[in-house]
Amino acid sequence: MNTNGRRKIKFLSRKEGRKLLDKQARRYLRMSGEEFVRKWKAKEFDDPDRPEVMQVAFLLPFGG
Amino acid sequence: MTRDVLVVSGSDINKVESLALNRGSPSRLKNKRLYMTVKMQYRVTKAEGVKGPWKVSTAAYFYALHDAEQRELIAFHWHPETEGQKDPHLHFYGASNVAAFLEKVHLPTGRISLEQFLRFLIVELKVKPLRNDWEPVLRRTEGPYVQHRSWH
Repeated sequence: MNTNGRRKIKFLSRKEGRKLLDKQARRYLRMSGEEFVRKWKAKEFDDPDRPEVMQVAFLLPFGG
Repeated sequence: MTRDVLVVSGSDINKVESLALNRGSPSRLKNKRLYMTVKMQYRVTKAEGVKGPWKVSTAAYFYALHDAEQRELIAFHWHPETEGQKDPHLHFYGASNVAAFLEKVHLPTGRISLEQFLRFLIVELKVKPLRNDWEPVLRRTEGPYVQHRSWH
């Protein structure tokens, strides 16, 4: 809690996490979260250090 | 500098978890037409002695600064488990008007804490913090990290 009593950290459920991953994968790479996970695991991104890819890759643990 | 909330994926033991500010979208910085991204991966592990019984270790970090259109300007990265550059590094992006040959290269840095990044925004870029006591707060949270980190 911060000094105003408002919660500043929120644990997401698995469902919420998958929704977050999907939303950001669509935002940055115009693909579903499921497709991103598949391509990432198959190492299909030519340049994984590209900012758009990194933005989503960091969220993989939210996908469960 | 922002009221956006941190979301975390969990606290399972020995599993890589993730945290992100503003649900992974860039977060608007107070008093500036700038945005920041804060994403980290971490592990909760058992620890002995003063570090115990549990400790949280950083597994990767991503701190970025964006312009008013949310285009990336600079980003501090460390993602040792990804293909490619495994050491901490800095990127300059085209929107920052950096010389073209510096775009996409990995400029080596030391390990950058989140506190260092936030301090950089406040001190160097004059982003206004929401708290007047930001300096001791950052010192307090950074203290255990500096004391117990296993590498620089």
